[in-house]
Parts: sequence; C-alpha cells; structure tokens
Amino acid sequence: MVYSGIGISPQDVANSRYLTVPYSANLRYRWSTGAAVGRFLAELKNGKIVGRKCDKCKRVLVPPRMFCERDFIQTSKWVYVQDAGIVDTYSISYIAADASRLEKPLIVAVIRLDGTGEAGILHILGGIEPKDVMIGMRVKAVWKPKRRRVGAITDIRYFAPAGDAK
Amino acid sequence: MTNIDHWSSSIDLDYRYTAGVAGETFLRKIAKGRIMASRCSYCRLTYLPPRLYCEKCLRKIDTWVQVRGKGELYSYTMTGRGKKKSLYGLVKFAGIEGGLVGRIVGSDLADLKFGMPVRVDLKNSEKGLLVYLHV
Repeated sequence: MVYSGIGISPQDVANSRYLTVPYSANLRYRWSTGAAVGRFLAELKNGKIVGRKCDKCKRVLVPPRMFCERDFIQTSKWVYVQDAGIVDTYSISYIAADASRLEKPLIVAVIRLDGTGEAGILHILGGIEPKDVMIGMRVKAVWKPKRRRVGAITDIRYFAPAGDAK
Repeated sequence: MTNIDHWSSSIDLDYRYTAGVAGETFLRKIAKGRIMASRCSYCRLTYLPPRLYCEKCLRKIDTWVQVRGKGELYSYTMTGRGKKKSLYGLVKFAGIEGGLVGRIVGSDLADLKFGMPVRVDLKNSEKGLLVYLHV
C-alpha cells in the first residue's frame, strides 16, 4: 500500500496555509586536527598532498594517520603523493550540504590517488557531466590559486578528468 | 611550515516543523477547545494525539472522535529550580491510547495521586496553546 505525502510549497509557508514552528540552531565547533591532519592541511595550502606510510603493510594513508589501524603500529614517514588518481566510486547528489535541493547535481567521489595503494579521499568532481563519469577514470586536482588557499580540503576545488595521461 | 592545529566552523540548521496531517487537525481543533482523537475502524483503537495511520494494522485512519469528560492522572512530575517549581502531568482517557501532557494548576505535589480524575482546560495565549490540568 502506498500513501503519497503532501508537499508544502514556499507559497504555502508564506501564506500560513499549514501550522509550522520555525527553529534555528547554530552549532559552533572547533576541531583539533592532530599531528597528522594538521600537517596534511598545511601541505594542502602549499599545493601538495602528503600521506603517512606504514612500514608493515606498505600502505600510504591519505588523509594521513600517525597510526596504522590495520597493523597496530605507528606509521613511520611522510610521503608526498600525486594530486591525480582514479575514481574509485561516486555518487550524484541533488542535495547540498545544507539539505537544500540542487538543480545542478554535485558529483561526490572517492578518489584513489596515485601512490597511495588502496586509500581514497572524498571529494567532488568538476568539469564533467554526471552521465560521463565512470569508475576507474583518471582525474586530477584543480587547485584554488595559492593566495586563496587556507589549509583546507577545499583548497582543491574539485577533481577534473585527466584524459589518459598519467 | 606550521601545522594547522584546529579547524573552526559552524553548522547552521534552519528548519520548520510541521505537525503532519493528523497533527494539523488536532492543533486546529484544540485551539477551538475540542480535543480530537483518531480511531482505526478496523482495530477499534483510538489514538491521542491522533495518528494518521494505525500503529497496529498500518491502515490509514479517517475517523475522528471528540474526547469528552474527565481523564485520569497517569503520571506526574515536578520541574524547576528554587522556589519556582511547576507540576506537569500526563492524562489518559478511558479507552484511548496515549494521552495529553499539561501543567497541573491549583494543586500541590502532596495532593496528587495516580489515577485521580483530571479536568482538562485549554487556553490560547500569546505563547501558544496552554493545557491546564485541574485535579
């Protein structure tokens, strides 16, 4: 049995057609990045992506962790990785971060950077239509201009198709 | 190179709560002094506050009944700090699932007993609807 819901339009709200209770919350936070992510973010500001290598499993962890959760040992050294890789998986989202509806969807993707092995970072794809995205396609970071970088994952604007060049 | 040791930001949540189809009817009727419950005609269960769907058989409900007369005090609590304390109670009505929560007025904690008869008094104010319970 399917019962359809009742949609409420912005006009309905403006005209007080239905009883509503508005509420706003502003949740402020300060997140401590820690040693590994603290350097990762600083390196992003310089246009570089850094990971941490585990000597036992040989993985390069990006974003970096000081501890390999697989082997229960400390990671041993900093390793720079390429700002290019392949699309591991992706999702086409018509909902923005604030849950508002989007006309033009975001393409959210997990990107396996060259030199990291199995690790993947979550980012968005740009310069491509949703229908053209394929798992395994090569992509490369499109960075913000240096003066606009703040040391955040958004210093990379998006990942764009990189053709077949490696 | 200096590590970026923290990240500060905020999450803004703006939303509008709607009462739903049954809740909308309930609130509009209660503003006029009528307490309405919804009844599943298959299960004979009556819900207060009203539900649009029967929790037992999952059928859609379209029968409304007015709740009349006195209820009974099912539960109560005292809230507040210092001298400013308030009593709140949950009232249930015979043959009805659920109940109403309201502020108990004109009584002290020592006067209250589970199961005692309660008269519900609805008042509209600038703050919204107030449910007063008289024991």
